[in-house]
Order: sequence, then structure tokens, then C-alpha cells
Amino acid sequence: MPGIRVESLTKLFGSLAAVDDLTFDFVAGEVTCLLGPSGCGKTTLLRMIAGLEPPTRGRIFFGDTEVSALSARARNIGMVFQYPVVYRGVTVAENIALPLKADRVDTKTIAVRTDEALGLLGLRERRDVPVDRLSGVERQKVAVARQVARKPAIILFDEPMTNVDSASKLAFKHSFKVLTQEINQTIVYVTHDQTEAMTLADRIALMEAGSITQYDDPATIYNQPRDTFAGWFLGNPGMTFLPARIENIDRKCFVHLEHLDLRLPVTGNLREGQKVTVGIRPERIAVYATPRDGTVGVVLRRGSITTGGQMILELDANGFRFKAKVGAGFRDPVEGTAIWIGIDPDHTSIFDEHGGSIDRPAS
Amino acid sequence: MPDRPILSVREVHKSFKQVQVLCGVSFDIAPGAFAVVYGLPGAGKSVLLRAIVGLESIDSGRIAIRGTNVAGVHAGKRNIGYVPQSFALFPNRSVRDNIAYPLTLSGVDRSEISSAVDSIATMLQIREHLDKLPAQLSGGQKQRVAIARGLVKKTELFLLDDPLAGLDFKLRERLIDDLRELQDTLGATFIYATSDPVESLGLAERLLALDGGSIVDDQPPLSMYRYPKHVFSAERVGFPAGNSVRTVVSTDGTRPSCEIPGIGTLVLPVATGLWDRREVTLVIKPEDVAFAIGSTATTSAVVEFEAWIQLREDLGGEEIVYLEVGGLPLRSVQRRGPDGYRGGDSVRLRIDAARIRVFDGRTGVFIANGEELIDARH
Repeated sequence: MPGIRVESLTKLFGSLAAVDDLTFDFVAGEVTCLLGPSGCGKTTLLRMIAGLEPPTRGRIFFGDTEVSALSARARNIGMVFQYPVVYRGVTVAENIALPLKADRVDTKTIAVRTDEALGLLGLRERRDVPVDRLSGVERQKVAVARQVARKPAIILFDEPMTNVDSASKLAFKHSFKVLTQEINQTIVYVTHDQTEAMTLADRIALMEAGSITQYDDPATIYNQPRDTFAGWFLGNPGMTFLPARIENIDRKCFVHLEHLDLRLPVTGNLREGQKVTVGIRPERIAVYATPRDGTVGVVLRRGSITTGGQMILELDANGFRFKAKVGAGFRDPVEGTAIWIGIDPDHTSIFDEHGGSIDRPAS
Repeated sequence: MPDRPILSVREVHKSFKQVQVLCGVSFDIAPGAFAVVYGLPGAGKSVLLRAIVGLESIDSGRIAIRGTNVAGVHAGKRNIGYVPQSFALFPNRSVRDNIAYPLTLSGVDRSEISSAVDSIATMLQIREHLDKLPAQLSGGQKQRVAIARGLVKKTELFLLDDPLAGLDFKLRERLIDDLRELQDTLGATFIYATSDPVESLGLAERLLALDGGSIVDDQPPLSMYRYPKHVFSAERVGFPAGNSVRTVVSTDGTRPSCEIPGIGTLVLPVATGLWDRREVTLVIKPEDVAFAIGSTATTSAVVEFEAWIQLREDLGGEEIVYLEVGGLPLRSVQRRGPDGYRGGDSVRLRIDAARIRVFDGRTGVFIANGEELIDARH
């Protein structure tokens, strides 16, 4: 089971680089989610790996074997698309067995692999049902089972839940999770939905404008974004960004959050007077009804309920607006009243003027 | 004296062939409100909006706009800005001409059109694209053009039919903020339809829940979340959906209780309206399904039970845990899920009956709230 390596891979559409001189390794046996907004190049990258889109430049390897010149068919890839690809008019089991017959797999092996794939996707009870009678999500599971049974080198998923209704998404995610825990398979999964990526990925490769800007496990990418884009793209809502400046007072380094007039002690490669952006996850901002040590008063503009009864607070500090997220059970907000916030420097990221994260030794 | 409503909908009925889509929809909207009509896909939101705009006839009832009954008034004369659910831009016309289209159609003069287009395009951050063709724009930019086209009209009443449907999640987050800002700046009335619960909670000043062809709940979003008046809003206004259990009350003691397979006996800390053998639906919000690891129940109102973890969904800032007990699916949301447990494991859960809401099993109407919500943890 090989990993995937791309070298200087580029795809130009006219003057636009959909994928821009990308060199990258997808670790063997892992689920990598290629995550990014529309137009970031993630689907183009996937299609080049699959052999469905010729690169403008660059090379692609599966393990040590270069596949750049191979046709899609010769690359031995499994692919799951937005729409389930199944044979109409035949049963679930036949859907899985037919591609194996076409590949001249022997009958006994076909039976074993079909049964195995049915089991992995939780489809054993649906074995003899014609696919036409299945729901959308079940058909998509059949499409996955077909690829699994073929035992390809790599399986690629191109936004497979796009056409799964929201009530059935859980069923698909559940099947995907069970499947990937059971089989050791290199998988690349394209999505623009950060929650899907957070749940399904071993590692997330975050893409922006044709480049992979961060490649980490979900918790790391969430907690230690390498740039403001990662901070913004992950999270609901994304990171809160506060403009700030570095100050040295009595040989100690502080980051001065200008709108809050709050100074936080920090360490790291920072210079006096440097303009920076301080990022903090909205749920990491401590919020209090009354002033406490180290807190600053801000105006509460609005509060609205979000996931799990938490509340997104829209706050105003001297005309600067930003968001905090408080847990279920927070008292209901009164618009226009003051509340107090505290920021723990250990929960912040500091970004330079280009939006790149500045390394800081743990304090 | 309160403002006269800008829109008044009374007992509106609409059927398509044998299917009743709207059966007695009534509400008033005050000028300047941001009202969200929330309902599941197929609930009839689009039909309702189209009836107000004048693109759909109604079987019976009355719609009054600015105090005037609009029966028989042509859509073009109702003076409403409208963003339809599925928009089509003219591919061969510039973004500017696309946005200007409704104004051109109603014969507004050129200089006025130009300034109106510039100002709405600025608010929606598409001004630098005005001279491009739609094909040169991204999906999100096209959607902004469609929204701009609906909002360019010089009026104070706008209807938006699920304008963010199908957009990237992050783009929606941004557009939700922009739309609220825009409504504030324009000082206009917005009536906005969506089937996304978080979107409706984020946008609405007033939330109208449409289910089974009528408005079953109508409150500001926060109070609808806290004190839903109908089982539909209790279950569906919030993400993930509330947990609901259909059961029967028994009163063989001093207090009413419900027996739930796999969970146990829930003693309900309210008595009014809960007579013996009444069919009820209990709704438990996902944040009220707690993990009870290494602890024991403290009061009789608390039940603890074992459930199976199906899937853990760690979203970074919070975690949704999908569980199952005795065939009943349960969802829990916590800032942090239970350490060390994974899919397939069994875990101990705790539900406090004080946090349960009770609804009539047949009509869905609110009966009782376990207890007023516990105030301020902070």
C-alpha cells in the first residue's frame, strides 16, 4: 500500500495556476482530507492524482513508482464521486462483484471480497436488493464498497457527501469511520466542509490558492494554525483576530492589544514596535459578567445561539468588533451592556504582518 | 403606539392538487424587522414568499402590504425586493447590467441606476467585478450578484429565499454577517427563508417556525431556543437537532413520570397538564445529555444509563457525540467529549429531568418545562 508523492506539480488554466508548483507527500495508509474553499485547487489536484486531468508540469509517484505517464485505468485507483456510480438494475452484491469479474478475478476470491466489502460498509442485509431501491446514502455506500472490493492502491473521494441529505450524513460518516479503522488504505478525501475534515481525517492538508498551506492532524491544525487563513478556515466561527503591537517594558516582552488596551506577556522571536495580529479561538476568550483581575470591559452587541446551545457573542471594544463563544448556560445577553473578557496568552497565536504564525517557545 | 405592520398575512391557504402546502398561515411583520421563516426543506417557505411577492396565487386568506390588501395586485406593483432561491444570471451581460436589471425593467433613469448599483455593489463587496461577466466570478461572488440584484430596488421590504443555500460553509459564515450589517444599514424589513437552524438563529430578530403548513412558533430566536412553544421548534431550532422521545405519562405516585426503554424512569418535576396516560413527546437538548463518568446520580430527577457511542465528531471547539440506547439515537454536545472512549464503546450518560421539555404527543403543543433554565454559570 503506497503513499503518494507529487513533485513540482502544476496545473495552469490559462494564466491561473489551479495547482501551483506543489511538492507534497501523502502518508501511506492514512486518510488525508484535502480541505479548502471553492477554487483552491483541491479537486484539480485530486483529478491529477487520479489521472483524469493532465498536469501542466510536474511528476506523480505512488510509492516509488512514477505514474505521471500512466492512464487513469493503469494507475489502479479507486474513486468515489459526488454522485454514486453504481450499475442500475442489479443487486448490491452484483454491483460489487461485476467490476471484479471484469478484472478477471477468480470466482472464489470475488465471493470473499464481495462479502468482506458488504460487511465493511454495513451492507450485508442489503446484499440482494436492487440498487434502484436504495436511498441516496446507501447507493453511495455501495459505490464505496465497489472500490474497496477491488483493493486498489489508493482510494480517492471527491466530496462524496455533496448529494447526501443532511439527515443521512451521519450514516455515511459512521460507515467511513468504521471502514477506515478496519482497512489499511491510503485515502485522499476532498471536501470544503471543515467539520467533515475534522471528523474523518487522520491528517488535514489545508489548501489555498493552489498550495497546501498546512498539513497536520485535526487537533494540531485547529489549535496551532500556521497562518491566519488556517485560523479563519477552521472553527465555527473562525479565529478572532486582534491587531496588536509588540512592546518591551522593563526588558519584558508584551503584546499590546490596541483596541482592548490589554498587555499580555509573551516570549518568542518578536521585536519592539512590531505590528502583529493576535489570534484566539472564540471559545478560548474568557467572559465574565463582572470585572476581575486582568479583564477588560467591552460592549456586548448581540448574542446568538450556535452548536449545542453555545452562544456567539458579538463584542465591541472602542469601535473594533470581534466574536467570542460561550458555553451553554451563559446568561442571556442584554444588548449594549458591558461584559468583561480575559485572554490567556497561552491560548493565542501571534501572526506577523503577512499572516504567518510566529513560533513561540512554550511558556 | 406600535408601528403599523409592513406585512400582514392572515389565514393563508394554498394547495397544489391534493397537497395542502400552507394551511392557515398568519403573522404580522413590523417595519425594520429581520424576520426569518425557518422550516425543513419542502415545508412551504418558498411558496409563502412567492405568494407575498405575487408570483403564486393563494386559495384563501389575505395578504396586506403597507396596509393594503394586495389581492389582484400584480407582482411588479407590489414594490418588493426579491432574491429567489434559484437564481440565474444573464451570462452575456456584465455584472453591472445583471444587478441593474430590475431597475431597467421598471424604467428608472440611468444616473439613478448607476448610483444604486454602485452603492449595493459596494456593500456586498463586488464593486471591482461590476464590468466582468458572471462566468469570470466564483460561486460565492455570483451569489452576491444575485443578492445585489434583489436588493438594488429602492424599497423598504425585501424577501430573500434561502440565498446562501449550497454555498461553502465559510462563505456562508461571512455572508451571514454581511447580510445583517446590510439590513441594518438599509434600515429595511427583511423576510428571509432558510432550512438551516444555525443560520436562522444567527440572522433573525424574529423567528417564525413553519411546520405542517402553519407557523407553529413565533418568537425572538433566543427565547424560541430556550422556551419553544412547539415540539417542532424544540427539536429543530438548534444544531444538532434535539433528542426526542415519544412516551406516555404515568402518575402512580406523587409525581408524573415516564418510562423510557434503556434509559429508565424519568420523574418529571412538573405536575400541571401531565395526567395519567397522556401521550407526550419529551425533548432533550444535546447539551443536556451529559457524560457521567466516575460519578453517581445526585437527585431523583437525574437518571443515569449506559449508551453506545456511534461516532465522535470533534469540531475543535466542541464535540458532537452520536450515541444509541435501546434503538433510540441520542446526540450530545459538550465542549470536550469523554476522554479515551471511541466508536463502539459504551459510556455512562446523565440526563436531568429538570432540563426536559414536554409536548403533547399529538398536537406538538408545549405542556411543561422541566424547570426554568439554570442561570449564569459565569
